[in-house]
This record gives sequence, C-alpha cells and structure tokens, in this order.
Amino acid sequence: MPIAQIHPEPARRNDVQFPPAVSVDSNDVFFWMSGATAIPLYHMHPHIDEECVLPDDIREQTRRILNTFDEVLRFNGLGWKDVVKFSQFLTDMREYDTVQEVIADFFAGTDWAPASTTVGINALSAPGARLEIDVVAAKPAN
Amino acid sequence: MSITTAQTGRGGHHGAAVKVTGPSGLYFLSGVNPNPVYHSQPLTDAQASVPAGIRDQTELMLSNLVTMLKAGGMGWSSVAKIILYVTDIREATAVRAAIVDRFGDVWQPAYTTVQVDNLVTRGARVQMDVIAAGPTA
Amino acid sequence: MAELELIELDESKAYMLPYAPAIKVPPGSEYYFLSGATEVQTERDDSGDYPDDIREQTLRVLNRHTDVLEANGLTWENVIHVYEFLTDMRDANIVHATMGEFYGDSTWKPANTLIGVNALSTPGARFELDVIAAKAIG
Repeated sequence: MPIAQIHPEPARRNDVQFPPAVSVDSNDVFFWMSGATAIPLYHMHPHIDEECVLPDDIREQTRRILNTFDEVLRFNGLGWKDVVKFSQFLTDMREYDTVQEVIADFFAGTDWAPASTTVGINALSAPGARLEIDVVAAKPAN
Repeated sequence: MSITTAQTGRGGHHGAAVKVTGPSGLYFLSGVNPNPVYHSQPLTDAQASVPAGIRDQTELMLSNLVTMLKAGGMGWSSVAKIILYVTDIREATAVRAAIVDRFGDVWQPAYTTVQVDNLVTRGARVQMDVIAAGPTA
Repeated sequence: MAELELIELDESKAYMLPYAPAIKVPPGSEYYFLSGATEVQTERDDSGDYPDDIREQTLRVLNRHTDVLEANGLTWENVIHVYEFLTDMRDANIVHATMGEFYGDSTWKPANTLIGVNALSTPGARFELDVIAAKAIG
C-alpha cells in the first residue's frame, strides 16, 4: 500500500485522532512543505508589518494555515488523504484542543488522518502568530 | 541494508547521519511521548497523567516507541531520525542515557535536541518526533 | 532521470521567499537524515571558542553541515527540508541573510520551518539547523 496508517491495535483505530504512525512506500513521490503560520503563503522576507497582521482567533489562524496547505496540496494534485505528517508548533498549549477540532473539520469525511507531533514553543516568525504547522505529503508515482 | 550510517565528515565529532535507500519505505511516527499511544482527543485525566521524573517518563516513552515500531515490523535500528524535545535541556543527557541502556549504542540515529516551553500534557518533560525506515506492505 | 524539484505556486512571487513552499522528491530517492548542528565544532570542543555573534554562529552551523553533506557526495542542492531553531526570533533576518550569502548564486531553496525555542543543545547556541537531504536515483 502506498500510504497507510500503522496501528499497533487496529481495532482501536477510531479511538485516536491521529494514528500512531503512517508509512510511505519507497515508490511514492514525496512533498516536503515549508511550515506555515496564518500569514499568506507568499509574503516578503524580511517581513513587512502590513503583510503580517494575524487574526486574534486561534480557530481562524488554524483555518488560514490549513487553507494555505490546501492550496499547496491541490497545486500538486494532492488532497488531504495524501498528508502523511503534521508537525504542530503552538505558543499557548491551552489552545491545543481547539486547534485539533479545526484540524478534525478539515479531515472530516476523508476517513484519514496523518501522523502528528505537537510541541509548545516560544515564538514563531511573526508577532501574534500562535500556531505553525508543517506538512509532509506523498502519493504514488503514477 | 537500506538504512545505514552515513558519513559525518572529516573534522570534529558530529552527531550521527543516517542514509536510507529504497526499497525502504519511510515511517512517520506521531509524537512519541510518555502518554498512552491510544488516547482520546481531548485526553482523559488518566491518559494525560505522567510520572514526575525524567527517567520514568523516558521509560514509558521508549516502551511506546517499541510498540509503534513493532506495529510496522521494525525495531530500534530502523529509527533514522529523532527530534528530541525536552522541557529542560539539562535532562537531555538522562534521556540519551536511558536510550542507550535500553537499545545499546551500536545503532545511532540522527538526533536534534531542543528545549521547548511545554508539551501537550501537563508535566510531560520529553517527546520525540521520529522518522523510521523499513519495508512497507 | 527525475530530479528533486522546487515547487513554487507563483513564480512571479518566488523572490519573496528564502525557502520553497514545497520540495518534490521522486520515488526511490535516497534520504540523508543529519543530526542537528549548532556552532560548536565538536561535542567535546573545550576551546571555549564559541562565537556569540549570530552571523558567525550561522556560518559555523552551515560549515558543519557542509562537511557532512560533502562527505556523502552531496551539496546544499540536495537539502530538501530544514528546521531552523532560534533562541531569539529577532535573529531570524540575519540568519536568513547569512544563509542567502552562503548559498551564493544557487537558485535552490529547501523547505523550511522556523521555530523560536527556549534553548538548544549546546550552551550559548542561538541557532540550530536540522537538515534532511535527498538524492534522486535514476
């Protein structure tokens, strides 16, 4: 199978939001994506203030990030079912549960979730950014 | 073998580098930490509780790692890369020592270790982000 | 032979980003996972010669990784993903400018995730780079 969830206890597959692991066959094409905060994908470096105005609502920050990845996935002929791994970086761990709810919405109806790791960190690339996600995706070669 | 130690250059002592070649697949593990592998989202209080000390937390974490690797038909020597997240960088040495105690020091994955603010569950002091390599179905 | 590919969604805006929105790696490629590097030359270096200057630290980090890449017959154009871990986010611009100079005329940019953390693996380190490289095989 090109990309598959790995479950030590397959019967408990629906007990977790993210599977313990996801395997990717070596015949797959990989897409390693840069991390994104809730500012637009294309923005100047060094940052200019006008481009880095972030919404205060963590749900909106999460949605904007996932919308950015939706764009990158679709540009490459991929969908949410092709996402192998999320790395999530939060500045305030109290917001963890809310962020996972928004992520669940994006995967609703796909019967799929990637592997995911989350850590609470100090700072992200723009003031006011409270979440960064980075993504690895893969699909069969043909 | 499709997962091997790579070169680390002419000078100084660098951490290990690991090379993975096909027909190995890559396995991306969800955060490996002291909490149970199977837990609800949000976690229940019981699932979220961790022992106080770094050594006890690391032992739970490593047992979870073994469980996750075994499910993919793999073991420690399939681990290619670890990002080790600790809440206190001074405890990284204890974590590494526990890893060597359990798995030996012959196989060295690539490591990056950073100190972060906190992890998902209160009191958790350590988490690993792991990429492994092994045959896929 | 399929190659590593830098994916831009909008070529006209590529100049804005010092990193790639995505890097596409063809099937069957070799992967190289490197341990993270700070400015310390060796894990047992007791020369005390750890520069505090972020630009100098960045150059040392890049040189350390260059050693490892070259020892495996790779270049920075094989690097597909980096984590940049900084202890002070205000250093980001200098780190990126230094990396840009280091890459010289190369048009290659890996995917990048930039994270501000509390502390790194060696005392006094302000920047640590985690590198994943790949080599497309025929």
